[in-house]
Amino acid sequence: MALLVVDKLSYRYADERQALKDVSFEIQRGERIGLIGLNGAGKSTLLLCLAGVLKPQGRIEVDGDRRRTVGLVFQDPNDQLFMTTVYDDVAFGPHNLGLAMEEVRLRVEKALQLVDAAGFEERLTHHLSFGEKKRIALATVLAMQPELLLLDEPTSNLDPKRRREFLKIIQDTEKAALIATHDLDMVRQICDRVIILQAGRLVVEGRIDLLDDLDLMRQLELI
Amino acid sequence: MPLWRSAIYLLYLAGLIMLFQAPLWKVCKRTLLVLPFLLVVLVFAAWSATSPERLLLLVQKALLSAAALAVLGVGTDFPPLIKGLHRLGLPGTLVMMLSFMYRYLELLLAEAKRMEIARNQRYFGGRYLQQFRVLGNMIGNLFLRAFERGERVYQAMVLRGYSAQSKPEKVTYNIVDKLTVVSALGVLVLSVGTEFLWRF
Repeated sequence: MALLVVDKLSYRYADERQALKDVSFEIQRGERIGLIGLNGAGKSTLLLCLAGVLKPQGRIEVDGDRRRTVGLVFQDPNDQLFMTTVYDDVAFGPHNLGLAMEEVRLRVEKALQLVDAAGFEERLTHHLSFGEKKRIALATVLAMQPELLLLDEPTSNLDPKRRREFLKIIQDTEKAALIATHDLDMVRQICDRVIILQAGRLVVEGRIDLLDDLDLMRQLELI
Repeated sequence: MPLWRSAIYLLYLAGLIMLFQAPLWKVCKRTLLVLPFLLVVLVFAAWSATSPERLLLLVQKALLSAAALAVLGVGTDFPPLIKGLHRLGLPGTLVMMLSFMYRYLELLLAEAKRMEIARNQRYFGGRYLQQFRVLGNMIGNLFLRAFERGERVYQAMVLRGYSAQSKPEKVTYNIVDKLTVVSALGVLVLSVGTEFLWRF
């Protein structure tokens, strides 16, 4: 069975703006998918729907308990990191899962190692650099050991070095991921498939060599 | 005899400052923050017929309390402090609010600063009356941004399994912590004891 099945998903904001219309697709285990589209095409809205923050019309089926299976990383790490110390923030999710103290500590340690931030436990969140915040934000979700990562613009505002490191981290997690982004190079490097949204509709879905179809990309105004 | 007791408390605070090597000027500066409030109270007290002894007591109390708070603040980092408060029974929601204040205050100030710079780049002086309208817009905008960030933070919390009842975390006490508590109790007993003896 697919890890995630989305069927005829539609969402309308309170101000009547139609953000998503009849979006359908599937994600298999371990598969990384690039979610592309212009600003306002509905990428973030789709992620929020899949995470369960917004309540859309249509069907979303997750293989397993959604809150444990799906983990959303916000674009702005200042939204994601709300506790005072790095340890408390990464421990927040596992703590709420009801895990024992020792297990929480282990998960935090492991998550911090995964994002190349071992030993950051006692650092104050608001004193971290932007790149560090991005990595810790990912760790807060990895600590909950989800099957599917929903990443909103994971590489935006990162310098080339941090971006490269961040991509490696995502690859090394070997988890399925739906990655909303404008960074087409990243999609080429780490994704298996692409989904393209235009004004709330899924217009193209397929393998990443779609990105090399310059006529199509020009027509969609993505290059 | 209140002066006695104040002297004992003062000595104890001095001892703590020495023990934790807290910067003295910082403690003094924060203690003096209470002065404006004290002044207001004194003015009102002078109006009513309060005896000089009581006034003296009032001043001592205010300064000592402020000094004790200052020592606590200077000697302890904020995160363990709020954990301690939670442990002492402060409701989880309030603990959360305090920690959010600490987490986001700097961010909010930075945002306000950026907004001010953005305005000043396009403001060339004059037209003071209109500036109030601009200022109102800026404050409203800042409020909206903070409000929306609050929404997003709450979403992030819920996604990581937050529910309103969170349990206080276990705090471990080392030997210095235990000694501090014991000595504080000792000083309390000592000061009340001397007062008691004085009366007989």
